[in-house]
Amino acid sequence: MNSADKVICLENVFKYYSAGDQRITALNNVSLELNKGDFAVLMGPSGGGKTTLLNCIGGLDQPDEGKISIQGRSIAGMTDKERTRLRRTDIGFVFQFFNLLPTLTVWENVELPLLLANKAEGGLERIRELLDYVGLLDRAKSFPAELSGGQMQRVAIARALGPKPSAILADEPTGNLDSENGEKILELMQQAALDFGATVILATHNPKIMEHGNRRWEIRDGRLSSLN
Amino acid sequence: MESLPRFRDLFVCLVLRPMRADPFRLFITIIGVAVGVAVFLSIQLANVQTMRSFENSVDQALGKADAVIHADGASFDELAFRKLIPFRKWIKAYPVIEGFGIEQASGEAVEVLGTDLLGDSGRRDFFIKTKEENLKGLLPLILDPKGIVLPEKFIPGSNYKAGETIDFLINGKMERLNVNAILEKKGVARALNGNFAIMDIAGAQYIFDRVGKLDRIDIEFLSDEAFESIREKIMPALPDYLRFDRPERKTEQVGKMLRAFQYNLTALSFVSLLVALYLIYNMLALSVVRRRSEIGTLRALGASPLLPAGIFFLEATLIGVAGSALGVWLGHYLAQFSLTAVSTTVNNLYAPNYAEAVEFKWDQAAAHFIFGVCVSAFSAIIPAWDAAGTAPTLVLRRGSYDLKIFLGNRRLNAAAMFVLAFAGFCSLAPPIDGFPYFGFFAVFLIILGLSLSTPSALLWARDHWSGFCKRNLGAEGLLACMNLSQNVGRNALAVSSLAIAFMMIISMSIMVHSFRQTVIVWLEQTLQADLYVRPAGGRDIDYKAVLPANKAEAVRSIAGVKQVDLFRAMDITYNEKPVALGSGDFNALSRYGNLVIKEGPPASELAKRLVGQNRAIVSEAFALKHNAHLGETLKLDTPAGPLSIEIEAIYFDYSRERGYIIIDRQTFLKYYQDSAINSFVVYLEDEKHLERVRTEILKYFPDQLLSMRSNAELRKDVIEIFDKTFAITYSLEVIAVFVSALGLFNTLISLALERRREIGILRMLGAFKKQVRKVILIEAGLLGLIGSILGFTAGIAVSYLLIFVINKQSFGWTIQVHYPYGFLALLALFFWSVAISAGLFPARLAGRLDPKEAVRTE
Repeated sequence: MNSADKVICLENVFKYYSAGDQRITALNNVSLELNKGDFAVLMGPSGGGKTTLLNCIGGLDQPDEGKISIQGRSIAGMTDKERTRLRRTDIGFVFQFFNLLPTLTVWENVELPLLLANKAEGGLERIRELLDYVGLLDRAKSFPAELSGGQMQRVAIARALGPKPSAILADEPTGNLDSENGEKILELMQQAALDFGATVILATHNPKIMEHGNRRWEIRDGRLSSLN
Repeated sequence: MESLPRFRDLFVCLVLRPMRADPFRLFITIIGVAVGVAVFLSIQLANVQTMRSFENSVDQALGKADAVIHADGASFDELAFRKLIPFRKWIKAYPVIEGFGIEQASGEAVEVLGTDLLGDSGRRDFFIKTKEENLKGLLPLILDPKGIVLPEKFIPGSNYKAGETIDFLINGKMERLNVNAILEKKGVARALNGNFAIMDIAGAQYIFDRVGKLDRIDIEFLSDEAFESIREKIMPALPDYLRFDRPERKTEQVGKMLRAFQYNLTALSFVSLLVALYLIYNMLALSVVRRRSEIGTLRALGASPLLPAGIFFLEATLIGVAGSALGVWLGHYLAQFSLTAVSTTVNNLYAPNYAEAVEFKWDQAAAHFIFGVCVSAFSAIIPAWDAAGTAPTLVLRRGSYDLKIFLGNRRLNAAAMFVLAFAGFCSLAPPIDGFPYFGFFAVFLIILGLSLSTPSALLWARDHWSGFCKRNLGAEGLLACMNLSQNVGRNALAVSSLAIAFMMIISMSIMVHSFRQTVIVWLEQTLQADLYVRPAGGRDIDYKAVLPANKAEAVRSIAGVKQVDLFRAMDITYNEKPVALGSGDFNALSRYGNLVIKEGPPASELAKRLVGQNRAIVSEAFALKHNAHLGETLKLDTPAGPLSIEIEAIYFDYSRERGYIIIDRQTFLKYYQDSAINSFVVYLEDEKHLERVRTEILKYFPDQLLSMRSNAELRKDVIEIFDKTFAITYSLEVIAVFVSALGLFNTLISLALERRREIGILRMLGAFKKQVRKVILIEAGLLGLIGSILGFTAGIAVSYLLIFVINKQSFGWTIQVHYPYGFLALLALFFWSVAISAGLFPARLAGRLDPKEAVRTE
């Protein structure tokens, strides 16, 4: 594996929060490396540090100590603008509550990241391809309120794949779905990671999901331990 | 009593503490309510004060008479007074002379009442403080023909004492009068505002050139006999042209005249209150959204739906209490400005009015305070209903409310169509008792129709503009446009309030501009003379100031003078409504002047038909108010007996709202036997003689001061008066725009806060802060644009209602529609800028939102 395949790299990352006069260590000396096409599952209880870790990788939060790099570029020292640009080009998000914009149609929701990046031209084919991929081309003109939970999550996956990101961060993507739909979504994400060459980090508290990952970790009280 | 602490605790936890959480928006909302209540209260106070000034006017308050004998605007022979002597058993009679003079030190107009000072003082409830206390002090009051009594509270800044002199300009003459006594600040003197003075009847007759004449006789009944019975006894003894009326009749007539004007102002001031109502709604609606999970929890813990509804009602009531209290306090200061503006308009359009200071008592404000609180509580109905209807299961399942969007409502559209069609139907209905009730109702229906159609307008704009926005403004444009259909209730209210404010300003601008242009065209066509002359001081529509006709006629002999037209007018009553009766020289008018004729022969042919004939022309306002037509006969009581005059023509006139009957001067002299004139106009052979003729005219009136205005000067004065008259309407519109901008500002902040989750998603998807700010700004622009378009369309419709229904039915003036294109374009631009500016702070706020906090619901 050469260094060009390293998509996400964390070295001795610490993150602290203050709660009143107490200091809480949300991430405690976390290190990991993920390569292109990895499907990583991060398991842990609520408050264990899953979301904090994803926020740090996504550039939404800055670690207090340690180094995070995406595609070899260090996030530390990046301005807000640079981190925004990083999210725009290299990172896709999938959330528990789908977080589709209710006023936009399915098509427009998928198109949105491309529009924000001013890449709408030539994106038509890409959007069509993605909607077809997630099986929702026929619902392109529907609003989110007209879809089921599983369908909404498919749209969210298509949206995350739009800008051809190197990493997709998924925070409890099946948490709001029944087990059948949850399973389908996991399969879709796994397949997408292979088909589109994206690295996926999926945070969950559900141990059953572990089997879907080729890389597995547990995070508890901010400490990361490999389960591979 | 045991439950009291429990309610207090709940009140503190559920109402007070959450209100404190957002002090900025709470402050804005309270300010909005305060401004709405203040404007509404100030206009009401100004209206009441204006009416009170008529009720308390010198002739009314000083004469607590049971009846009044008068000659309907004209002076009459004092012999009529003697004819009342045989009725001493039933009545006491008091002769009166009315006039006004310009006090020279201040330039203020002062009403002067000539009355029997010694005989009247007991009955009239006034107390005189003379220079000397014994009888010697009283003697000058009746013996000095130039003696005058001033009230203790006279013109502000003046401090006359008994024994001093005071200079007045009366009928164009400078008169130095002796202050022989001061009216103590008791009785009626306390009720009046100070711009009045009293003289003995003989002195007043002399000063006002009415020796041997009276303006009216006040009658006091000595028994409990009925008014009608006394009238029947007395009238046969008096000349036919004298009238025997109840004293309050004049005030009632003025009240009727002012009604349309005051209703217009009240309606305009109500717009601000309406917009304030929206501000509270907006604040509460956001509060419901923010606290929905809290409401769900309360419901899950066993609270009945009444509890959340009660929370929001109480919140609205508290805002209402604070806003209304502040509004009442602000309003009583603002009332002074409103009164000045209202008085200017009333003075220019209706009748002399000396309302100067607002008499404000806090108990007067109680009704407005309660009204403000009720309106505030009313605005909580929808949010409270929404809160009460919140199902705990639905709320506790996160995200289920976030997806709600408006997909249109056919019933709402049908209701809007019906309401607008009904407005059209109402605009066709005639006035009731001369008042355009249906016209005002049609305006209300247009506002209602506008509000009902706003959600669909938002949806339409979303569907039709999203492509354009996406192509030209990118993702931000698309998002802003698509957001129009989210939170549609609040968006629609923001747009409606903007549209209503814009509608009012557009319609008033078109109406005022049309009116102004119509007057300018009318002035150009009508004012043909070169010089307009009248006694100096006072106003153009006071007909008590006169000049001797023989001197004006002599002006004809000045070299370069082509013709002189003498004008005399008086305020009379016709069909129990005030009318101006005018007289002029139709030979001069037909040959040199002009009138814009609506129906009948052209002005050039009027001389042939009117000179020396019992014929008249009437103004359009008169014809409309009295439903008079060509060929009809008008019957007037004159000093020379009944006069029947046939209407020969109806002409356009915009100078007096009450309407004119104009007869030829020869006919006037024959029936009214009074040669004095109010003014005259001079036609010159060549305009270059103007200055010389001006100087020459002064020589003919050595003892009088004249106001001489050239054609251009008069036009300028008329337009200046016109602009001052409408100044208050503009002020009210500006305030409505301010409150609605506050509303839009509040809405955009709400939307920014409410959409923090979506804004967070956007930021996660890679939107820069700048892009988030742009979304909010574009959205502000779109809301402003939709509000402007709706307001503009409705404004055009309302301007037609104002011009062709409300004004026509209220005032009887035909106004040609003229659009102030440049001004409207500027107004639209200004309005749009205000809307975008209102979005600046919310946009910054949205840009600052932390994306991870915003989506921290996972």
